[in-house]
Amino acid sequence: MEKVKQDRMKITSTSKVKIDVNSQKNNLATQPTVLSNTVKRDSVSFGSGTISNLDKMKTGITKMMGSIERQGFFVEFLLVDAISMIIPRIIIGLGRDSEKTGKINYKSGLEEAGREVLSGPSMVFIPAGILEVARRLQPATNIPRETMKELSSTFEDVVKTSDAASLSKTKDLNESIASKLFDKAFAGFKFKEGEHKTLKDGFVEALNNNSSDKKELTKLAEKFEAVVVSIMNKNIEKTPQNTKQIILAQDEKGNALVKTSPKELFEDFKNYSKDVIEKFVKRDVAKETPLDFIKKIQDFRKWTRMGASVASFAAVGAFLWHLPKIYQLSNISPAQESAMLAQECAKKGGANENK
Amino acid sequence: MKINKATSLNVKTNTNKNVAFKSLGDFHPNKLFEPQRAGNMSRALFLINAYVFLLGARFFKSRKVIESNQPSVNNEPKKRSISNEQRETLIRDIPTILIAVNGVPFFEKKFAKVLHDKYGFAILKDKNSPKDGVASGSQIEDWYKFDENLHGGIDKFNQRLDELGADLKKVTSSLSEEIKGKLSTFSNKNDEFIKKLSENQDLKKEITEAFKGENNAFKQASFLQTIPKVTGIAITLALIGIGIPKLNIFITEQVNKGKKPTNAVKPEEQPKQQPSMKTAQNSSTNEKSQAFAAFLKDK
Repeated sequence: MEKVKQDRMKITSTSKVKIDVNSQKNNLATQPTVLSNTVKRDSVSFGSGTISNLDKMKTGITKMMGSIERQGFFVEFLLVDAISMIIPRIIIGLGRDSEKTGKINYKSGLEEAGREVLSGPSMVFIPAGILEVARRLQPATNIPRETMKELSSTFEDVVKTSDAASLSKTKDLNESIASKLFDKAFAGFKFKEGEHKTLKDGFVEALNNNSSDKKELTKLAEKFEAVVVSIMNKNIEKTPQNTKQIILAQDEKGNALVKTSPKELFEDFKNYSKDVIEKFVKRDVAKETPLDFIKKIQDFRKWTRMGASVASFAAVGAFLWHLPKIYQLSNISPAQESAMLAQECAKKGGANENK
Repeated sequence: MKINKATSLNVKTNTNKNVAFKSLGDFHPNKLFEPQRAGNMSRALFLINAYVFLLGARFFKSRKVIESNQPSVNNEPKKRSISNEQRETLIRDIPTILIAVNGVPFFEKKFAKVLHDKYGFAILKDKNSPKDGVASGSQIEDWYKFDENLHGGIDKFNQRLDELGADLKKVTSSLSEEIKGKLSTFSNKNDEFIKKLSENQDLKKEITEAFKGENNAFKQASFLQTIPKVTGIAITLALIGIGIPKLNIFITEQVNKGKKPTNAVKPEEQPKQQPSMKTAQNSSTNEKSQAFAAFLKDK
């Protein structure tokens, strides 16, 4: 026991040192049972530190790229913009003609900084800002056009088949719409006997979960996603290739026309309920019919979304068009200065001519 | 006179409902102006905006070259030329914008197919259509983590991987060294693999357990799924960050080195008047060197 303890201590003390356990010189190789009990499999072989570090690196890269992927195109663009354009161009600008003049070219560096820092990110942040304003005023503006169409179509189906009392309660309407969405999303699915109602109730409940706390809402979205994945996997008819894709509409051949993910549907449904359904319940019933109201609000949100997008395009365009006035520090560009310097050097000739 | 003899009887009309120019699908107004989830412009709209406004502003608002203000020599018609800043804008920004917007997905798709075939892990959205790109991280999680709710169990799980184009022996062997050893006699063909596995219930159970949670096959697939994007970003960074700027400066220097310097005019061609030390707005033949001298003086 004492010897085992000592050997264990030896292993602990040498764990940070790269050792070849297969080497005949290594006395640890004579204690295989101790090794298998106390040391993990993948840190036993030669270069154990290297292999576990590689695993850590792989995990780190996977997590980082996963984060970039979840954020979408604009994060990828900002990353490329910052690393490949902003930083290198500023550095190259600062070093422009430095071998000829012997000085840092601050003018060129500043111009590059002004141009690159303001142009790329503005193309991302201005549109995001405009749509955020629209979203705060009308949450349903954030819903993609095709999804909005399907939600409105589902709402219309609910209105046509519901009594007047149900149309005055937001909760009832939410549950009815969620129920119809289940029928749309899982049409053609076959479940075990008795499971259909349980799965439907679980779907409706999960979709209607709500919270004012942002972190809690994220957890509820993940919970809804888990419910959808579970439903997808229980399909007896066919094993789904993508359990995180909900198809809300398809054509005659079965090709998806409107698809979304569980998390996106959860978010869109919240926005739809908060904006459209609540306004529907509070509407003046004498002014217009329920279906007219739904159609009108759907069109209005659609055009607001399109308007925000057009406004983003125009705002970015206007900013970029006037941007040169900000970064152009003088009447002579760094390019022109380089050209003049090159000619001057060529005129002088000698060692500097070919630089 | 009837020129067009085509009639409705002999003119073939396109009855194919699919639009011929599918590549223009993204340029339909509805799709073009549909913002992304985070509120950003679509890639196509982003590209249009960048070329029209970003490039347009840099080009048309660049500072005019001094020699374009000089009078023509010997009454020859003045050649229109672009300034150095304009040249640099074109050389630098036309490819940069295209590469910055489309570079990463372009290179990502090229590499994804190579990795998919080499390592046997299904990472493409559609194995028959590599241009659709790489599957998302959450999709990879579904494909490589066994869910107990999956109807049909490990058989359906493996069938799905087979349909996605994975090499089942390679994927399953990555779970652990023990399982790899036990699968050494299995066939490389997926259908034979599934058949033989179904005959060994103990091994089937072991593999089912191994596929649950954060298993090694999932980790490997997740890593392989990120490599095309990492490669795409690296190549894009190298092209935009290093290649294009260096090329730009080099071309500007070479173009202007090749030109005769304004004060390198032969003595017999030099004007009789001595050049005056005026500012950059002076339109004499020695304006360029004077402007440079003025610039150095200001500096």
